[in-house]
Amino acid sequence: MDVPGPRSPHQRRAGDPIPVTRLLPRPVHYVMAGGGSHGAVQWGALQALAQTDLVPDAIIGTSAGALTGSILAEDFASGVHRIAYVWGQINMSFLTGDRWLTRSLTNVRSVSLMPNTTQEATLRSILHTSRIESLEIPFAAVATDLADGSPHVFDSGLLIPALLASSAIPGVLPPVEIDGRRYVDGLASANLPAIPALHQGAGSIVVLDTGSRAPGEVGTTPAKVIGRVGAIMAASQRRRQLREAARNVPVLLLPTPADLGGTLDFAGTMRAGASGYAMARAFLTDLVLHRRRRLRPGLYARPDDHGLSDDLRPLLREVDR
Amino acid sequence: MKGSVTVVTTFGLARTPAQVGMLEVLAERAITPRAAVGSSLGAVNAAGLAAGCHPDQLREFWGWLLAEVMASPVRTLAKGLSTRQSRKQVELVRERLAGMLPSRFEELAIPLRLVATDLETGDEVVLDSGDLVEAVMASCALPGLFPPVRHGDAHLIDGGLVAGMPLRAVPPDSKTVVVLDTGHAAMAEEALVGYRWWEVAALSYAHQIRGQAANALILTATKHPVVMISTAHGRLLDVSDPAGAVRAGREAAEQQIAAVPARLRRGVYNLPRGLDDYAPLAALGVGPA
Repeated sequence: MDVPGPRSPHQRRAGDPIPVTRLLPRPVHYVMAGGGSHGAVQWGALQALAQTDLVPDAIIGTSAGALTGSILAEDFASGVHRIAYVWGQINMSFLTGDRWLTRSLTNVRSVSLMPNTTQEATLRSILHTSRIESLEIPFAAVATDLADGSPHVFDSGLLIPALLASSAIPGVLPPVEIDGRRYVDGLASANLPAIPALHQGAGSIVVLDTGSRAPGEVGTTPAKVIGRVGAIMAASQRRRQLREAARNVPVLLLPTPADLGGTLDFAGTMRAGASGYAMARAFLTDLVLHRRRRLRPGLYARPDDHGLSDDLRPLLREVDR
Repeated sequence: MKGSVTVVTTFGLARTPAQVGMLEVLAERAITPRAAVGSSLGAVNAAGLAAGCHPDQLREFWGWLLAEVMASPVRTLAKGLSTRQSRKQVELVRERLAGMLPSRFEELAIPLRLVATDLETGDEVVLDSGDLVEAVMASCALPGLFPPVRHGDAHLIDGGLVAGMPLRAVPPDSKTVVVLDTGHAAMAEEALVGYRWWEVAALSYAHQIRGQAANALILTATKHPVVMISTAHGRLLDVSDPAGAVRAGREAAEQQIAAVPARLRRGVYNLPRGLDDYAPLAALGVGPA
């Protein structure tokens, strides 16, 4: 009979946190990718991280990742539980309120199809901190400057407007004006804000992604092609962010489940978070078992991650060898 | 700046006709292209240049395309979403292109490379041989305007999605690279007032493309002198005035070529506003900004 040995590193006792901190050069930044309803999957990886001895020195997020990140930054100890609760409650009406169809039809000629009043009310009911600098852990939300397209990092000032700006889906929700400039969703400039984290001085980066999916059967009807556009552009930008970051610091790309369901399937994504937890925990355990020294720059990821393209492979360092 | 150069045309939606004005100025200054590279709607101008088309032919093409095919963003999208309508549109454009361009790459006066996006993988695909009209159609198959073009096993769409500024397709033996940029230059702050939701959405896509362009520009400018000629005239989706866009292109080219010294070194000349906030790129900027 072939029984695999226990996977616990060293003489760990049940319930001891996984000792990850010693591997990561400080400061450790959590990078939370955006992804609309797919942001719900991040609770799984965060749960796995909560069972390590790691406390991030900073959190930076875009769009849905900014919302999740701000909850974590507000109160780290209860963060994961609140995140799971919040994402369990959120559905389409978080953005739209009631009667979204009639509302968007009346807005056909305006700057966005929907107002962001419902979204703002929901955010205010979730978060209690008013200013970014009063959060427990240093936090930043990334939005896109609509005028010149550069990513803007909000690391101080009012929290709610920054979150609204970071998740102002272009065309659907209105651009948010802050200090005389207009901002839209960070997805247009840095949906996975690893380069902004690098600029903040990150010593190592932990990436919480929003699902890596193999390209499925691709339809060529006009509507399906338009649907693909966002995915193609997001993927090309994601590669750039990961490449640049992994050249300079160790980047842990926590695995995420591939079966997230549709773009608006909040509940399905929540459920996928459970397998996300198992994958992330196995990843972190493998890392701790196979690495003794501080990590060097590179992309620490599972080699079968669908998000790894050929240009990222040279930077890949496998966790279990 | 003198002699032979590699000309690169970028994406630019309704501002793409400005490249025709820029090409005219290049011809007047005896700056001769020895290779052309194009992506998205810029592919039409790159192909026109490589085929030796008269600028008036290109002007006429843009006047027709903007008035007949891209008339209003919402109507265009509605047409593009219907499979039957978009096929009809494609046939019209294909006929026009076939009347203007030779049928194969091999018949062109100078080498031409066009960039398209693989719909399945999102990879950048370089087209430089075979059926020319199909290649132009693939490179400028804007999602929602034209259907994807079949190429072997792959389906190709707009090259602008992954390479709005197709610098990676520049032949490695090029010397000076001249970029005719109608898409990436910053928009004036005032221009944002009174935007409609579809313009905000389109602009955000344009911003994604710009991030890629900055990256490609860094890689190219460390090897070649890159001369940028860019215009921020008009709105990306304003199809009402192609002739005005051509004029704006002429003016921009006249001013910006005059600012470039005779002897060039590696780096970016005339780095436009909006790309100059990327620190690694700004460091490569030479000459007056």
